[in-house]
Amino acid sequence: MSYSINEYTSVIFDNTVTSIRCSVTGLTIPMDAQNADYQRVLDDIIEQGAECFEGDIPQDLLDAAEAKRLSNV
Amino acid sequence: MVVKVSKPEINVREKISELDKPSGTAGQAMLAAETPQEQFNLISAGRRNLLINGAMKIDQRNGGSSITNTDNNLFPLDRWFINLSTEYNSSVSSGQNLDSLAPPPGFDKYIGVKIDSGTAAPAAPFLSIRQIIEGNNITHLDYGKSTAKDITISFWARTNHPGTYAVAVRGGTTQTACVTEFSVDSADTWQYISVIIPGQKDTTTTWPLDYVGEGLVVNIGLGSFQGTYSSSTLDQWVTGSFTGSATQTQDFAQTTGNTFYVTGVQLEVGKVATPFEHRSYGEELAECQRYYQKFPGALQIPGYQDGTSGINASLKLSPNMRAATPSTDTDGSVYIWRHNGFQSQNNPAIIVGTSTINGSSLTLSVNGWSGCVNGYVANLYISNLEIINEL
Repeated sequence: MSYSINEYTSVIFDNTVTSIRCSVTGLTIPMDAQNADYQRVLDDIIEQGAECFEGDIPQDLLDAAEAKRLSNV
Repeated sequence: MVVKVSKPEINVREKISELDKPSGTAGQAMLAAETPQEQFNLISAGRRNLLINGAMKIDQRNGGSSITNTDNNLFPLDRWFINLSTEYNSSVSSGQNLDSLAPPPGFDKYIGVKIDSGTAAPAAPFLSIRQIIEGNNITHLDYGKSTAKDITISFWARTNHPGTYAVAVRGGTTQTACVTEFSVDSADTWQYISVIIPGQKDTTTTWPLDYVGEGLVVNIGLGSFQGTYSSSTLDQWVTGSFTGSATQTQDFAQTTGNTFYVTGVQLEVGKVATPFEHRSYGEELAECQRYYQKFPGALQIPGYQDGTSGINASLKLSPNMRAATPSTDTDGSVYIWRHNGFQSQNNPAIIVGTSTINGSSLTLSVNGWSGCVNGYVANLYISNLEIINEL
């Protein structure tokens, strides 16, 4: 998966990360493990780390990426 | 008393020769079947094709225009996407009826892939035409059980670059795959391809039931698979995420102008490739809309103001989409009309409320407005809204 630096940003409403915004595709991506775009965000975090994200990566996302990396699926 | 009985004459030699009358392979298989169920399976009665948009007719995203594959997993047609290595980004284009060729008999559409800029093979490259079948739709294959069924994948293929290519299938949630090769013999000629994939009978693997996620990943591999994604074992299920064969054509993506076209793709239970199951356009479109819906032009949705900066609106989906939270996209401005006037934002985030999703409707939220009054009505206008729930 290719990526751009700071490709993703958190969409925050009422102090909660509601979704992720991708500056390359324009997609608003929900925090749902069944969403294919969300899985690609996890893949990019696994491969590229913090560089693909603008600002801090939300903890939920970091945890999900780590779980996916360990499961190797 | 004597009773005389007369019988018509019988030519014994003729009758014996009739017993030798050939019934054909199909007839013999039908006669050899031990149960009506076996006969049913032999003729593949009922709905057969597990793939959607196999005739490549539906293209909601691009309206028939080709795309440049600037990134991995872009969809030139509904349900079909191009899976490619980073190194091939922007060097491949794809689309419906690319190059305006005459399709094979019985079809008017196909998917084409063209190498716009030949790229030397990287270490672990991949380039394939892919569709992922939802887990819900493969439960009858009995994968992971001793009763697992064989499947047959058939399609029409055409390329300027004859050689050996591969079809690969793998589990969406299991690290197990089966790769088989096929050969395209002549350049620039449509050729009918049929391959058989044995049932996945490994009882140590778990295939989820009632699952809206990835069930079976189907790849038509266009070469260059040396590395971690190529399997050296053919026609058997093996552990790995393989999408191609180690012995297939390796240089397809290295030459500018190489092309590969496919249509009439069918995946069905059994060892026989039956004629392509042509479904109605409306039926096929509805199947595609389970995973992607586009609302061309300005979509007006009645909603309400949420706090001082949010607008919420509920959108009824038809047909129901896959029961996962979709991504959203819009290619332009979003407007609101409300009691205190009009306001617009350029390409804001359109957030899907996860708590309300059930596949039949969803709640959209757009924030960042000013002057909202909580609870007041508002109309939301979104241009070219896309709801994306692909696998």
